[in-house]
Amino acid sequence: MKKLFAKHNNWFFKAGFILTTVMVFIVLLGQVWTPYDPNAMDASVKAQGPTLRHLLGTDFFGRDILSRILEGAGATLQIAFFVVLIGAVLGTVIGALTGYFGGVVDEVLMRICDAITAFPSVLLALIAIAVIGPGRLNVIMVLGCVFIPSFARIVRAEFVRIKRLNYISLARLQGVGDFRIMLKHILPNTLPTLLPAISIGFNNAVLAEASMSFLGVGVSASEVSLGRMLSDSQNYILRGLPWYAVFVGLTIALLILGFSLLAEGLQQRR
Amino acid sequence: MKFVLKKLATLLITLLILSFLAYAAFEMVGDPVGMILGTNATPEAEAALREELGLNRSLPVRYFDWLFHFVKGDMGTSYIYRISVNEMIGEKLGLTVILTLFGFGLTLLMSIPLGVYSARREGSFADRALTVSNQIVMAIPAFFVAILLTVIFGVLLRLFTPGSFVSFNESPGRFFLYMLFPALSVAIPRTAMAAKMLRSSILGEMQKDYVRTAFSRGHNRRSALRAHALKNALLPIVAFLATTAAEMLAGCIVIEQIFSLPGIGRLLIASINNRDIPVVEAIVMILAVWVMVVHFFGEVISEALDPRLRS
Amino acid sequence: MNKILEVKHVSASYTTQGNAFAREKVQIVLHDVSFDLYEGEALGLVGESGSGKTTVARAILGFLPRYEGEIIHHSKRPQLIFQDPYTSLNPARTVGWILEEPLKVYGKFDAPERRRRIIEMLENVGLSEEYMSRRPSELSGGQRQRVSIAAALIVRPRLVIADEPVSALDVTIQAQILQLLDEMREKYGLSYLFISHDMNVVYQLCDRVIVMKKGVIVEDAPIDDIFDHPQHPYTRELVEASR
Repeated sequence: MKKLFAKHNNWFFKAGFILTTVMVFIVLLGQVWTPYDPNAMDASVKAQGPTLRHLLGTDFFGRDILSRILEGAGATLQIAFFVVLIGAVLGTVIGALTGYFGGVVDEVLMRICDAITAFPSVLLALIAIAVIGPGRLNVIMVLGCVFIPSFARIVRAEFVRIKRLNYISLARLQGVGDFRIMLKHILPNTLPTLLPAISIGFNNAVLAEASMSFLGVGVSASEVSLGRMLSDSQNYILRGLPWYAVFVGLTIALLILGFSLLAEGLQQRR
Repeated sequence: MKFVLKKLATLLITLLILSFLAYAAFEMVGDPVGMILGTNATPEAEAALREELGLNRSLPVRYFDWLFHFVKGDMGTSYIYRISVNEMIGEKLGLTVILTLFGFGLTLLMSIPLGVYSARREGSFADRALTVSNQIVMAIPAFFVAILLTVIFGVLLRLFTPGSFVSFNESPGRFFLYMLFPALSVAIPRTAMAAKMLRSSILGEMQKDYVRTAFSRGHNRRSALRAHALKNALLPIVAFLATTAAEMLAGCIVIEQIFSLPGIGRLLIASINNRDIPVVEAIVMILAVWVMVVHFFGEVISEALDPRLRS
Repeated sequence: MNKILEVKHVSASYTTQGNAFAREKVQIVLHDVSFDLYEGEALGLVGESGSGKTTVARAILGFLPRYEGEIIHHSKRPQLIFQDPYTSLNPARTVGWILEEPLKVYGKFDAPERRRRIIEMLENVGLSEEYMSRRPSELSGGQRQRVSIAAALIVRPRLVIADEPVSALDVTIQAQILQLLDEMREKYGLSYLFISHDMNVVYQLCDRVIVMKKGVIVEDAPIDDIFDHPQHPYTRELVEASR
């Protein structure tokens, strides 16, 4: 951690690191404690703006918006985590194998990856959800798969570059096997590229979940997430009560901003 | 020319494969007959509908039939409304295209001056402020910009009424005023991204030998910038703009929902929820063609600007 | 004396890609190269860049996918020391890890034995135990080349190929590294194939010299003969240039 700071001692990294840490900490805190029960209705405080009792106001049912945002953000981050996990792990495996061994399989797979990454990921995910139906698990699987090609491309490029370097030739001369070379000799050197990609992955996953659920083609109607809340909050704007949408949007924007600054900082040295 | 033909062939093959995958995938969604008639329909009625929709033929036959008609411009008949898909999509597509072009135009209009200004005043306070704000703005999702614009200009300033779209025929002036806000929503984050890229691209070019040579020949910084750097600096931007045009269309789906615009995005979402497969297929293909064609032009323009890419 | 390596009639070529201006053509990089290397011998391989000397090394180490002729090894695991000490050490790993990896792969030693051997080898090349936890980025060029030598020798090879191992270093460091290589040869009874463009460097280490030009061996003689009675005009040129 200390080393990471020394290597990336720039404004973006610090700001992104602090913002992300604070946001994730608050969301994690929300998993064990919220000011109110997110589902408790209180008829005496319906549809209020921010007050001291309800910092972010209440909805039509008198439910505390802060508590609901904490719950929704937890669900969204959880989805993002698994999406990035699937995308990064499978993308790394595919990128490493094709980059290291090359050949016809590599050619074909990369052509497919190029075609897929040309399409906006939200659009692909929307279409896939249209086929297999909404729900949290489906969103995770679909977005995870949609994210694989971009990780595969990044990791492949790194493997192609690094496998030609002298220290890899030497490892081969010393009798180190292919898979050990990939795992222990090349993979650690892809981290400077992989870390920002993972950060961007979180950024994109939060954005995609929010967009999809907002459109009603994400998590199912009974589940919570920031995207679903954004969709609910639409009705409040039209009735002249905009703070709900603003706070949900702000939460999403701050989460994304943190990951995006972190990624930028990780890419810049100094 | 050879390059263009090769890219064109790749484009067509990709679209062909894509169209088959999309068609086959939607066929797996389920039997539309049961969905349309409900569970207590007579077998005769089901058979009749199956006949009418042409579902009694095999998948490849149906696919080629559909593809053949699609290429001719006939996108089929809606399962739910029983009217031609062309008719359903027609005007809505126009609105989405207007929104995309409007947003794209705004992006160009705002990002090029910002990027050039920032590069010209490299290191100044204005440049640093722009760099930081670009980094922040590009991370703000378009829908949040949309919410803020709605709240500020719709709810507080009452420049437009959120949720009540004004069509062009009703009042062209109010139509464009209404469209300005969704267009700004998709344009603002992209503008920040494009300005940032343009700045670093110009600065990268200024470091190169040929620009330095231009300086030593007595050009001042401005004309060296204009004469040499800008053209080359635009090169990486072209590919980025192609991606932007593709992403913007996807972004419009969300934006249409927020501003209640009767565009193709809303129709797509409604059709997905209704399981109106022919409409979904048609829209997906239109979007796919758009994305591939935009990337095709991006590649061809990049190539025209820089023959070195030809290899 | 026993042979440790036999190179018999090795030829290699590659085909250039054709384009609008040039037809594709076959470029010959090695033509009928033959020599033997004996146990304990330090053989210099000298020539300008493009003479094919590095291609010979690549063929010997099995990095060249296609060549004609035959290469017979009488030892296992020949090792290589690269010219550039900056790309020959894994930047993500510590010196200790880099030295331990071949021992782990070899698989015959337990952890304490591996550590003992690493420390011994570090001392051999003039570095202390503390260097185990250092990363390549924290080392100077000379130190890196010492680590490279340690990494090559830790698997106890009998043949070491050194591809311009000192030409990226300062002159004072060059002398130290050459002396180290000489000491290691004594200590472990190594054979060297020492590739260089610099006759002076070769003179300090080698017993015999092969001179190559345009993929062909033009002269193969003991070091003193090369310097005192060069036969080929190209050899004479190289010797003159080094005075």
